[in-house]
Amino acid sequence: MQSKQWAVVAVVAVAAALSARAGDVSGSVKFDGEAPKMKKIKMDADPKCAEMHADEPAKSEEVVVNENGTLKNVFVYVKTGLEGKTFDAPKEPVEIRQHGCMYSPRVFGMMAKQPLKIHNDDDTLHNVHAMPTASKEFNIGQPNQGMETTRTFANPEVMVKFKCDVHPWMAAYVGVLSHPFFATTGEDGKFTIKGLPAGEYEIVAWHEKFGEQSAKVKVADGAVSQDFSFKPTAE
Amino acid sequence: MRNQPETVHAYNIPRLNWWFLIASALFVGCFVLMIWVDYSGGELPFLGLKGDRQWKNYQREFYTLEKKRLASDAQAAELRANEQGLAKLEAEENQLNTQLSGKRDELAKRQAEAAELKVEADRVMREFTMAKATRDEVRSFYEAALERNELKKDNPEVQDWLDRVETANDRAAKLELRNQEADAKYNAAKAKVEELVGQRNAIEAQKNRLLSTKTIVSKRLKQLSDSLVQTVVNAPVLEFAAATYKVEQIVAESHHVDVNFTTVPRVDRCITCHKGIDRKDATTDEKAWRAQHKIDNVEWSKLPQPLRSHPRLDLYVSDTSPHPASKFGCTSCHWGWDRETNFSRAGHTPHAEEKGLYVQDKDTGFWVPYAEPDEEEDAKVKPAAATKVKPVEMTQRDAWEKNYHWEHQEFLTQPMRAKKYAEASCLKCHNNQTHLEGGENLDHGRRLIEQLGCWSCHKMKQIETYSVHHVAEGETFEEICKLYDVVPAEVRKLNNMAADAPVTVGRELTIPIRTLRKPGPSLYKVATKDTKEWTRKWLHNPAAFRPNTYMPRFWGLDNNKDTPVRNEVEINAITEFLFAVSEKPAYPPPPVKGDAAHGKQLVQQVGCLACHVIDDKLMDLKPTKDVAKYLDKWEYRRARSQGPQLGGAGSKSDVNWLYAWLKDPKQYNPKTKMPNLRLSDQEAADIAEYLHSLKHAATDDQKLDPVDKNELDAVTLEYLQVTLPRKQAEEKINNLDDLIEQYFGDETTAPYYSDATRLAREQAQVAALQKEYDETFDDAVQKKKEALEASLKVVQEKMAAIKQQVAALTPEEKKNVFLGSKLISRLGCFACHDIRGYENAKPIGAELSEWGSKPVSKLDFGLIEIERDRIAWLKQKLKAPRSYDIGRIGITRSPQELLKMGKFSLTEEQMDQIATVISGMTDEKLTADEPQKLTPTEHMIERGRWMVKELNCTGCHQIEGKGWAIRSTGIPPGMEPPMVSGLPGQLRQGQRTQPDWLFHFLKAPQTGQIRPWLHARMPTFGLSDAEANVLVKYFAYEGRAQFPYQSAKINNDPVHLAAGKQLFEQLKCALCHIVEGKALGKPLSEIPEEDLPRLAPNLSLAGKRLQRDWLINRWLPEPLAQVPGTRMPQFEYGATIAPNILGGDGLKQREALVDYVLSLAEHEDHAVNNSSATASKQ
Repeated sequence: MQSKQWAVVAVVAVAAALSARAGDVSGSVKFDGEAPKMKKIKMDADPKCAEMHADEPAKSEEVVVNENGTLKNVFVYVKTGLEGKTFDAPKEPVEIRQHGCMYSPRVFGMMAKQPLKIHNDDDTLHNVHAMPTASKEFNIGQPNQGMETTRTFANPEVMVKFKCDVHPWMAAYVGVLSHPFFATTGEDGKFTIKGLPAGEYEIVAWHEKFGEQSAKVKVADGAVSQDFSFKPTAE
Repeated sequence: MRNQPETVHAYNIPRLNWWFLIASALFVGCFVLMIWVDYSGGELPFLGLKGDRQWKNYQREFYTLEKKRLASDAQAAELRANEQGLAKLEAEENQLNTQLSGKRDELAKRQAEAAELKVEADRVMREFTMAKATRDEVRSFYEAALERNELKKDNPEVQDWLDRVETANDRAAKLELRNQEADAKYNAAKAKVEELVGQRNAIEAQKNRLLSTKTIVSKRLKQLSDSLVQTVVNAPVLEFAAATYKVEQIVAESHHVDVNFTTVPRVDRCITCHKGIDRKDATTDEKAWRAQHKIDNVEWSKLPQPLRSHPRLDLYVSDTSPHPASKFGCTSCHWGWDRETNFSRAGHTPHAEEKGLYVQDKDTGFWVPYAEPDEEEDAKVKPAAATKVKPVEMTQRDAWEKNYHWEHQEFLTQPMRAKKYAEASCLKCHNNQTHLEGGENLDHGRRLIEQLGCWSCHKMKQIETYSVHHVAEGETFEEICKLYDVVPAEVRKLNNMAADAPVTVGRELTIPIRTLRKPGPSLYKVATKDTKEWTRKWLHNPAAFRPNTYMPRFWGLDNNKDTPVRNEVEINAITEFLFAVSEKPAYPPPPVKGDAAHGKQLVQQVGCLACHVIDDKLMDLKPTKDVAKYLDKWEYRRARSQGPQLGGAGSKSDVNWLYAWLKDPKQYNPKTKMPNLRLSDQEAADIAEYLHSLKHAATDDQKLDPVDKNELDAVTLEYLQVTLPRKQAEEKINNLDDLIEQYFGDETTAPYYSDATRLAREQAQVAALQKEYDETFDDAVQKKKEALEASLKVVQEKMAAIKQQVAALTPEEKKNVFLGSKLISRLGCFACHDIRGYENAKPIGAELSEWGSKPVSKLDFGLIEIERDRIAWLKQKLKAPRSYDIGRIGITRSPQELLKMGKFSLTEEQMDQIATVISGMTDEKLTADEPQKLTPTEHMIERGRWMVKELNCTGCHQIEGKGWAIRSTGIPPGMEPPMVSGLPGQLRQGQRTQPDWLFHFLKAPQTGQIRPWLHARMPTFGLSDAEANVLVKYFAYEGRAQFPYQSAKINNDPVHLAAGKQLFEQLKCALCHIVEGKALGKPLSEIPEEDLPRLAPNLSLAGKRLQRDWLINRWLPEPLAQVPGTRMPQFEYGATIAPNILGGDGLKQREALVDYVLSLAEHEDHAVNNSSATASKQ
């Protein structure tokens, strides 16, 4: 009797685990080398921009190495392993701001068909020129401070570049995916991809300057750790 | 009893019985064999039967697939029906049926009632119809009686008929009423029935509609799957009635084939085997949907032959394509023997040269091309199928021999075109078109032929394209020339018209589409450009100096590589000739000292690289990834070889010549395609210096053999003996003056040299005029005489000078000039180059306009072993043009009889492209509706397209979605010349710019006007008015733009313009756009290099340049739709950006903005002043 009950419990547990096992993949992205100096941006071309950085000139965020030796703005996402599964795009928009003639955030992720809110905080003309190849290209002029425009990308694509043709130093990158399993490293260089169903995946870390790195991870129940490390490329 | 005398036979009965038995058995055997052969595919190699009935096996395969397809389609149709709510409909229907079942009695009663009333209504209606007929009959009798009785109404007979008429009228009227009543009753009863069942019936109809596909598909499937029916209809003998497996054919009524002295429509039986040819694959969405629902899908485009579908159903076969199979059949394009169903005899032609890897298919036993296995994919599909088959290297021909017992059909006049050359057939109808979708190989080939100059030695009607204009009532010759923008003199010459002859109505005028120029440079002034030494080295082997030159090699080939001494004599003689007769203008040194480093930079910036390469190997070049969507590698290579390779320029010409050439190419050669880039003295000197620094070491170091004087005498004598007996030739060799004088003259002396008696005739004419004047004292005669006398005097003086010049030459020089002139005549150099004295020489090559139909038996294959096949012959001719002399030199062919064609440096692929074109030049007669008849509009579009190619506009620009080669040469993004017109739906130049402006811009572009930040310059091509108009019209017609253009009225209302100005400032247009010489708030000269790619066109020029309508309705609303990737942002005109301007109305805002921008032009006048553009006035 006892053993039978246990058996039932075991079967139920296994069934539950099979149907709903999920885990998190987290880690940090190290920068293996000497942090390059962030270049100052000359904003003379638009006096309005230069004004906003009158005290201290803005610096290029192409490579940002955090104080703890990790790399900021690395986009980490699941590249393969989710084939055949479909995920609905969230209704809540993702936001990108043009602030002080810089994009914020510079690197981020979103899902295809998810709304993207584009905001202009500056009192100058910005044009948001997104250059996807899988979805429709757009180039919207935002001449007024406080203007807001919403757009979507129809199809997944990693990465889509944003540029501003008025201010050539401005650049941002968005990873458009068909699933919600992605993260971007911040000030601490850490990332966490939450709630990944059990399975085997290829996880890729992308950086605008240093390219891609990939790793295979096996997710069962609980957390999986996966670190990445980028080396400076020869200039 | 006497024995009956035994009947005496000349033969032995029992033995005869045996023979009879054997014969019968043989007969039965043959009969069985015949049926067996017929049903099994007919393959019995030991009897020499090679599969004449293979088509039956293919059809069996097809129907197996077809059943699979029908089953899956039925399944899909049912699922789709379910998705569209079939279940719901069925539920509703059931519910209604249940409801109805409660009222069954009521329904039956109502139905019975309705039926009864229907019977009654029908009966009344019949009665009414009869009554009407009776009435009409009686009426006519009444009228007849009236007539018979002289219209006397009181006549008793008439009276009698009148009574009857009245009765009949009454009856008909009554019955009409009853009929209406009965109908009304029936309709009311019917409505009562409908009340109960109407809804259910409507749902049933809806259900049937949803299931209609499934019903049709299932019915066909049932037919095919019924094995009893199939066995019976396909059984021996019974099959004559309605067999499933049968020979099928398309009769292409208007496409004929020549069958032994008569032409008959083509009867194409190709579809007997190629049964899947018209089957469309499922769309990507449908495929995904089917995969998701696990429904089978037959991919017709991926089946093995012969069932595979046509790869371009959008262009061919399908009924919606421009070439439906029902009209064109198959063999009108593919060729082959139309009625044949045997693989070999139908004329299938394999590729016999390229080897590939083949594997034997396990199921069919056929050798099929080996596809590199996708290991991951395979592992997923069938992990166990890891048995590796070793592929074998063979040609397609080898595979076909194994698979289909393929044999070469030597006597087939139209063997099928091998796949590589299939586009050849397009040429017979489409030779007028510059671009052919799906005919890329043919396009590349035609362009190569134009550039190599094949057409200039060999007449090719298909390359010199024309359209035909039918002269209409009231049209003058001048008007027609204007319509097509052609030079009247050229049209007169082409149509053999006298100088002032008018055109007659109905006459067909030939109007040129392409105006081909000699592909090689003029040699009139060659002595100032090159050295004799370089010229000799060049002639030895042009490709050694420029690997991709269009100049062919004439010496060191199969039929003269063993005569180096003679070759040196010939090369030297041609060189001496060219330099002796060349004009020798002096080129002074550049006025400023050049800087080679800056010159190099300029070459990379101003646009030279769109047409030239420096040292790159052309055949290794490919467009970069960002440009590859605008042009393929062949188009890219073509653009970059518009002009010659520049590497080695310093080994060829000096700085002075280079400088003069760069400053103005047309001063050296008025016909050159090289445009003028309006270089400053300094820029031209810098580039000249740089080009001069580019040396070709191998050529510089090359040593030339000395010229053997005895050989010179021998060859000269040989050429003299062509026309003179040996004795006279030996004397003439020391007295060549009169044979060479003509080459030292110019166009004024040429007619006198070519017509020896002309001088004497004209002198006689002078004397006659003098005599006439002496008699008449007519001043006009006197004047005529004086003019003739003066011109004769000039000619005579020139001829005397030439006599002296020639007499001063050494005997050796004379021999060289004589021999050179003979060699130039023999080799036909003048076909590609302008050479003094050869202005009227006829090209030396055979006409090739019908070469593609030439019987193989008429081709001279010489003594070399190659396939007896047209293409094989042609490719051998291109590869080794003199190889057909091998084994004959000095035996059956004297030096004068040897082959003359030069060897071009071509890759295998290029030769295939050329072979495609030349094999497509046939004598096939087309029916009236076949050839592309061009309207004047289409004609201008084709001419424009051709000019765009000829001038290499797409080297720098994107036009009709093609081009932009220059972007692959390292020009930074944002610094490339602009897009001119895109794919359909995108920017059209004819809509964007005003024709008047475009005309002047094309004729005389100026540096630094519209996009002053670009380093690349729009060159001055030196276009004539007519040529500029061709381009203007092309852009207008191609863009379906308004033409002639009516200048748009600008709304000058100050309030409107003020609103425009306010918007202009709010949108910060001037942040990027240049206005009045400034951008980014600075004068242009102060803008740093890195900011240049951000700038936008000069708006001060917009007023005269841009079309208002395009700006307002196309450009501003969605710039990216016009120019993909443009930096111009899309603003949300209206309340979003400026709620307070013009009431937040987007259209009004755009109008105001555009009108303000267009009025900016008022302040600054644009560069071209004489605005008498003919373009806008037609």
